[in-house]
Amino acid sequence: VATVAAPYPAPEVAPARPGGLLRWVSTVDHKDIGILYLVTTVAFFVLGGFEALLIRIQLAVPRNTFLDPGAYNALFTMHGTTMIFLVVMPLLLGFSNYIVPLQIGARDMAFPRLNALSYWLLLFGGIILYWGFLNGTPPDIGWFSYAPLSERPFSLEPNVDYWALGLLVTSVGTIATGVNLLVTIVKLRATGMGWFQLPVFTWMSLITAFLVLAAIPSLTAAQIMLLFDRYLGAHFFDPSVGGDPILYQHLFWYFGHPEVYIMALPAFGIMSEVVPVFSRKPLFGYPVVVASGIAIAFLSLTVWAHHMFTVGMGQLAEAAFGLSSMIIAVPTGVKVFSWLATLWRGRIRLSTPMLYAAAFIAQFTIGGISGVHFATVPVDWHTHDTYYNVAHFHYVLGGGSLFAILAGTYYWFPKITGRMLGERLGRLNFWLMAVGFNVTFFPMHILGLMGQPRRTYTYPDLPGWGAINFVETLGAFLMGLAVLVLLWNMRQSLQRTERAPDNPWNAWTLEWATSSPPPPENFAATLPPVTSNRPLWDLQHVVIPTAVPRRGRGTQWRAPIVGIAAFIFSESTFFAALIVAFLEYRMRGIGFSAHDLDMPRTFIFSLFLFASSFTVYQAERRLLRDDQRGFLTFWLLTMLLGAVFLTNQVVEYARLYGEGVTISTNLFTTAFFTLTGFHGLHVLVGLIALAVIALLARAGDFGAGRHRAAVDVVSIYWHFVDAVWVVVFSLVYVLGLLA
Amino acid sequence: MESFDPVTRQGLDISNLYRLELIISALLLALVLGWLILALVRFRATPGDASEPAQVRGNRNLELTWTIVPALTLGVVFVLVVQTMRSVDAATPGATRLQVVGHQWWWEYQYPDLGVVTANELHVPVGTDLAIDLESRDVIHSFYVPRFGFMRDMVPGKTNRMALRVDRTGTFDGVCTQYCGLQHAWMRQRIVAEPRELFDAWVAAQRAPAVVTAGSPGQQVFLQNTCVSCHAIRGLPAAAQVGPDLTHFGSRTTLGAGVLTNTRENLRQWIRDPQTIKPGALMPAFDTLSDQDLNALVDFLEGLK
Repeated sequence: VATVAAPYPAPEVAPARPGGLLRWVSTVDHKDIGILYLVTTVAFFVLGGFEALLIRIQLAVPRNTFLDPGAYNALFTMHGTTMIFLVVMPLLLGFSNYIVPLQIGARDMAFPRLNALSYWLLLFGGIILYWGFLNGTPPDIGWFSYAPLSERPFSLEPNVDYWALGLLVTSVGTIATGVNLLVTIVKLRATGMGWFQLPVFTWMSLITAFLVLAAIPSLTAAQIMLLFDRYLGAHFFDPSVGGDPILYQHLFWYFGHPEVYIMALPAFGIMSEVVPVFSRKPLFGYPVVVASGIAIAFLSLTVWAHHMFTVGMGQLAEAAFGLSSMIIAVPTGVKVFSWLATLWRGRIRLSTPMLYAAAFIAQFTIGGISGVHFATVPVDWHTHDTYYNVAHFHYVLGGGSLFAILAGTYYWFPKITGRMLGERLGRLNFWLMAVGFNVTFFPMHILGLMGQPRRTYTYPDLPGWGAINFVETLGAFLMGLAVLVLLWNMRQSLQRTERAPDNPWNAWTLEWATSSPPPPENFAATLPPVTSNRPLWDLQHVVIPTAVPRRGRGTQWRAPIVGIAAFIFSESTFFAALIVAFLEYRMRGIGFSAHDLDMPRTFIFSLFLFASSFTVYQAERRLLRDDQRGFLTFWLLTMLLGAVFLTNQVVEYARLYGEGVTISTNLFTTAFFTLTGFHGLHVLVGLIALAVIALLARAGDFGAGRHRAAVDVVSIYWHFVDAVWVVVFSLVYVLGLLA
Repeated sequence: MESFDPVTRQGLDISNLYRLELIISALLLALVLGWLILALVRFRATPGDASEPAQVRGNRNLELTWTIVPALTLGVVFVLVVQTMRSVDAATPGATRLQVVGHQWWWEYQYPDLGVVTANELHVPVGTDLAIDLESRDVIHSFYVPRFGFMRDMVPGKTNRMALRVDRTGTFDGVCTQYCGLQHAWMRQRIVAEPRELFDAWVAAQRAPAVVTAGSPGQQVFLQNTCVSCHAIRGLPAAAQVGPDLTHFGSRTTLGAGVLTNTRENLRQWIRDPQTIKPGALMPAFDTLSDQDLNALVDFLEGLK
């Protein structure tokens, strides 16, 4: 497909912007969307921080009655869910959204309207999540919502549904952002910017985009199964008929652990910008830092079950996941050493971004070390789900990611707003935050080793427990104060008339080669030549050859093709999750099984679907020859073949339903209807997309290569839908008979 | 700290591994913090100095060192990890069987070979190998006694195994470490580890049916109310297994899985209004009992030694 180059229209840039509220609602400018992300996530950060303060008040003294257990459980659930899904992840994606196109010298993201959609899905997903409070039934089952606690009859109220539906919505937006960032970085780099000239923050954003696509669909699948159990009577995680609650944990953590790196890698990226600039030296070992980021991404897909060492997986699995989790410490350590070596023999300026970066190195190292403790299986058995665990992940995500975010905030605030943040208030903000953070979370290591379990609304008055908890609460309030200072600092800065210079930190990447804030088209003048990952340094210090090498276009594939490939990659994770569930349950159903399916009939109708891959290919070939009639004929034939296939599936479902076979009959039918049903849904979506193209073609709108991108994208998607059916049919109908 | 003072054979193995890891961790942390602080102090720019330092881009030997040395160290630790796992999980033939069942929000214990069923407070013999089966009747719980040194989950539809030998006498508090709903906080337990003779005496006492005086007023209150829909007392027509077995209730030291100490006054309050003490507990309030009936019931239950 699509090997002949045809011109696609360049990414659209919004023309003259409307003012006021309409500007923000209608914007497709990546800088506006980046600001929307940052403002929204700061609001959620304040909310999540307020929840944490309520938690700490309740825990300040033993047997406190400030909160009742239901309120406490809702608050810790919402604090975790908020900080992960509505703060750290989207804040970092917001930075990527604003900074990455500038760092690579692009005018915008590859798909500006998709970018806006991502943001609005985040906002409305967040509102759905919080709607539970208004309804009096906020989510209260912990941020990972383990089955069967999250199933009926243990959670009868809609608490869990707000969690699952809210995050389903934000996840769609996050996947779209992943596609968008990936295509942007692959396709829109400035001339001369090859892979070794890419700024490290952009590199880490690219790796993060890959992880988003690889991991988040597994959460989506788990949440859909959970909702099917709750509302359709399916049995995925229902132990009373043999369903497996541990399957939920596997699907959740296959997402959940890469998620940790989705929240850490961009933070590493910020660190790798700030530490060199404020040391006045290039990043020590750039290729190794980038390679270790790539290694972390792939390894992070192999370590998920270290969250499950206490569930009884057996020694072999536990040792294997322990080993992979220990290995991932190596590339992570490489990064820490690289930053330290960058500092060495530098000219270090301790401005606020650098203060935060230095604290990051110390705190992230502590979190990383306790992470290795959890990777060593027996020590995990000892400390799992105690406050040692709470200390660990707050050192990684708070002392690590959040501190990097704050470093990035002070670093990029002048670029985004055109105003510097105050240094005096910045230092006050930093010291309050650093002291508050460590006073809050370091003692949790000790409480964990004393045996305090996490997620308990109160605790008995055991020796030392009350005193240590009280000190932690004081620390939390110092952090609260630090946030107020930060917000005050921002307000003061925005009211200042004095404008920030274009490059206040004397930094080296392209975002500093334009005005602060940048104009709508990002770069008013021509870009400086790019021959290394520090173009602005080169401009001052290096004689640049007149002919810049034409690097920067990594692939012949055009942007929409890269985009659909990325989307299909994430869809594959989703189907893989459904297939895993099917394989686990295919032999466990009592009664109805694969033998009761009409294999020959389904096979015949499958041929219609397989044939449609051939016809869509023929249609594309005819369009390449500009044979519009031939194109339309084969295109309509494709739709007909797909419709025949789908009709048979509807007939099959109706027959089964007539025989009383439904999704709640047994484990086999639970997995069968979910897997084949989602495939059917994809066929339906494909048919709609085909129909839209057909209508455009009928309107004669296809002259001179117009809509080629759309045709390519739809036909690639259609091939994917067919390919999935090859797998599903083999597993469901054929393998079922062999077993 | 409980972590450094385990009372089981298995916990000692884990504690030793953890001590070694802490030493390595402390060395690493000292290296990073020392390096960081030294760099920040020594290489801080002097004001007004606009010169740029030497632009060092990397050093292959250094980069190889800080990749390979940590990898080798972790490799050694991994060998110890596997050894410790095998030692902790090693089953001993002829071990005494113990079944621990998690419920929202209390613990059920059975010694199937000894005929003992009890709740929330368990006696174990020191120096004896136990083979524990961990199960759950509702959601996932986790069996943890910090001084034992390790935990394992109780998953519905699955039986997890745990080998345990307690080597020191004492009373050790435990908790549930997997979030299990509203009253996860008050799913605590108490383990009494005692010498063999005392344990055998405890078993003999637990095996015996409840010592009841026929027709005592408290017993009548118990049998005529819905107490019997949930609770069992061996020796009486009360065999339900929804709530904790009360056959020897009077011999326990806590109430409501650790929320109160077991005194007459606390028991009165608990029966009258458990929802104030432990909101969400599955025990309903018996606030319609007369003072006389309540006193009789408390007398009867506390007498179940």
